[in-house]
Amino acid sequence: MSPPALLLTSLSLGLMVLAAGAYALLYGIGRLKNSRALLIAAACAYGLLALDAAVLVQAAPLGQAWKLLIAASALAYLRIPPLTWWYLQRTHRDEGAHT
Amino acid sequence: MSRSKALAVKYLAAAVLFFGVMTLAGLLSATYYINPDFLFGYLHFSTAKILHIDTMIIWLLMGFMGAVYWFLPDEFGCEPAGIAAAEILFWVFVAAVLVVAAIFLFVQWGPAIESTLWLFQQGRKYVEAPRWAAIGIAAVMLVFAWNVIGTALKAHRITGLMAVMSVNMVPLVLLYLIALPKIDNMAVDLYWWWWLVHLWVEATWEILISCIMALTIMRLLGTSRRIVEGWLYIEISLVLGTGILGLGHHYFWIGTPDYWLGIGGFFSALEPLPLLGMVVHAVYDAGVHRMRTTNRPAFYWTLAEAFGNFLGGGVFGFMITLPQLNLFAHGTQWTVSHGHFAFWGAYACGVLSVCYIALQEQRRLATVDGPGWIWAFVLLNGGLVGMVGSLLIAGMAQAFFERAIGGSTLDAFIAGQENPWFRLGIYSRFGFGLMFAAGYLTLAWNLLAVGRQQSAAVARAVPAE
Repeated sequence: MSPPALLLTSLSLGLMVLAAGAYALLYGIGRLKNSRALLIAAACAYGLLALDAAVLVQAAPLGQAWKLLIAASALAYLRIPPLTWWYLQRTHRDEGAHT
Repeated sequence: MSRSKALAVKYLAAAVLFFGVMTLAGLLSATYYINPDFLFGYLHFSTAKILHIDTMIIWLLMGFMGAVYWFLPDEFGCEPAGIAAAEILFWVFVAAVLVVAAIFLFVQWGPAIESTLWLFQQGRKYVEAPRWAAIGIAAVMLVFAWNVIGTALKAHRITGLMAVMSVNMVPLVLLYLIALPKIDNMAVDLYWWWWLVHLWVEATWEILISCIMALTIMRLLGTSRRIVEGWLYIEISLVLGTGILGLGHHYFWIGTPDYWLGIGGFFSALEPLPLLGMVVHAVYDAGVHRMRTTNRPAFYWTLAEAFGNFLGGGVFGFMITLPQLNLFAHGTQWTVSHGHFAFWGAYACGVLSVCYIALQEQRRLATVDGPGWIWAFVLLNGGLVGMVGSLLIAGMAQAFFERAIGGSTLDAFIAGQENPWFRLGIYSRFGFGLMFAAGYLTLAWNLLAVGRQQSAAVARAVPAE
């Protein structure tokens, strides 16, 4: 791995998780406030994540298995916030019904 | 106040005290990077560093124990089993830590014979404590485990949360025993040593802090036990599912077989996934309760825990966890940066949250608020983020110039240490370290002072029971 590739790959991986965090945060606040603008911002954050993952898959000096893992992670990041939100809403609703 | 809660207050106070020692030793360690002649002939960098990382383990462990002793009587409705032994062992624990610290400061090392391992130190990072102290810590852990498990047996009832905590006590005690044997082969020694360091930190401690944070959320936000326990089971499954074999990222370069490169890289890459769920959960809880709570510092430290864990463990960890990148980054300030952020986010913020919860009940305060905790919160978190950012720059410079360009030769190491980017990172780390230290002092003052006038007024109004 060349010295510039080392830094670029590492920073891209960090950016990927950071974008996932921004997506989760904006998605959560957007759902709480029923804000379309925030949900669009969340989609943009995920778009950044997907773009970053695509660049990593295309250009990073990593083996095919690692690139597959990065692509799969990018897809998993897409589903985690909605699934978590759905689960939290369901448990809180059930709890409300029980009390 | 129950005996368990009184003991909890002692543990939490000791934790905050050792947090201060850790901060001071960290500042000392940072000073050596700026002035390598600092305290030459009196106190080595290695000793300051040992004090820094060992007190980090000790203060967090004491914080966890304090938190558990605080919540235990509420969970079971009775005093913990073996509370008298726990009370005695608290003083034994504190005295042992002080004696070991004195040995590190004034004796430092001994001849390369067996008695040095027993009396002075074992020379294994994080568990340098000599064997007599390691046996003492094992005894403290054993009694701690009995306090939890024995109380469940005594009360003839158990909650899901306490069942998780009770089961977790077994590996918590057993894994620490790895601190004791002497293994001559360094690769074999490191293989098992990582079981202690990684599996304590990324398995048993994760479960312990998850249980503590679950109890904290119930207390702070009134969230129902059913919801909290449901989430706890999911979170623990994910954390253990990724974290246990994530151990492999420590096996990349210690002489273990090649398959650990794949196992370690794969499971470590999955580790940010559960942390993302925690971020969503934190937003949900904060939003549903509209940030309303009677204990704002505890609430904000809980939020800091969720976000700090994600950033420190997730983002900073993922940058260096694949073996191709870890080859260049391991052992540099880059990993130090990740370590600082992850420990702070995953554990320290949670312990500080419990300190404020205990303080509210102990001083019978209707609300906990005021400017003091905000200053402490901003200075500590600002200082920490500044430090890890600085260390990231320094570590990247090392990986780039010393490892990737220089090929890890001695000349390249020296060139890396003299590189302007590395120097910039090291100087700014010291500056932000001072900010962090100021935050610690503010926190200590705030913990001592907050609500004193208010509780004095309550005490005057309500005569002692």
